[in-house]
Amino acid sequence: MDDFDRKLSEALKIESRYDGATGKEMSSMAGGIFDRNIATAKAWTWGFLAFETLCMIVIALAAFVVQDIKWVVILATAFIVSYATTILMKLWFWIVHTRIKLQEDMRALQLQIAELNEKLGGSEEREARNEE
Amino acid sequence: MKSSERIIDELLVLRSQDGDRQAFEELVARWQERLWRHARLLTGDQDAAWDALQETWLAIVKGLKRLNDPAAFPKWAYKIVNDQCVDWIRRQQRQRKFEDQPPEDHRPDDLQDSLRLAMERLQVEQRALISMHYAEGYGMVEIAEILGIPEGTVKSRLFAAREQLRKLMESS
Repeated sequence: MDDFDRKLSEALKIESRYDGATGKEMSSMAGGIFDRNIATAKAWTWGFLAFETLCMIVIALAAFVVQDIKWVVILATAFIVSYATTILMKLWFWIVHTRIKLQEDMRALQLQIAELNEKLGGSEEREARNEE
Repeated sequence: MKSSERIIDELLVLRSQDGDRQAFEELVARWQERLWRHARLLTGDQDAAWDALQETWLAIVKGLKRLNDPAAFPKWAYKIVNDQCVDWIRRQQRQRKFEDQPPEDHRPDDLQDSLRLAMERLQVEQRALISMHYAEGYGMVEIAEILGIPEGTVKSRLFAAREQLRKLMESS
């Protein structure tokens, strides 16, 4: 790094001086957006589940009322589709959640190894010492 | 071997994907300054940088669940900031053209002033490289990873950008 590089680096840091107060406002705003997003996703999920449950109840009740066998078959199929959709949706969420949890555990383990490695002085330094 | 800082970022991304607000706030706290600094140097305007950052966080919140590889978060976040800043620069250029105003042409008073003018005249890609290396302190390997281009390309492009910046600063 020569003199120009050093001057450039300092000048750019001065030029892009960060305003912590506005930064905090922005952080809380981002947190608010995150919360709203999660709440919307939850509302859609529970709304959909409630709708599916309602459909199943209505279909089941209707199946007992109708006389025509053709309609009984149609309603039974609709009930199975509603039930399968609900189950598949729950299964999908469970798979995504498990994948994230598994990745989290792996990263937590990697973090412990990296911290241990840094405490021991880094693998490169150790290799250099071993070569000596 | 990945450094612990990077793994912490990945862990925070994963926890945020799982709906943990605290993890997301920590992620914002860790990345906000870097991303803002980048936006500030690309746009050359404080307010535009904050606007770009706001749009960036909005896009990140919306798209975080779809991010399959948490290690790709820095690349993704910088790309969003870049896109937001490029949009802003284009809007400014269109506005200037519409108002038929030539870019301001005044003699710079000091180093900061000449740097500001020179940065404005650089291409956006060059500004991004200068900002990442000199203001945010990223090495060639890190920049290559973030931008998704080979390390050699980063070196040559950074050298060209630096030389152009030096020439522009000297000429002003």
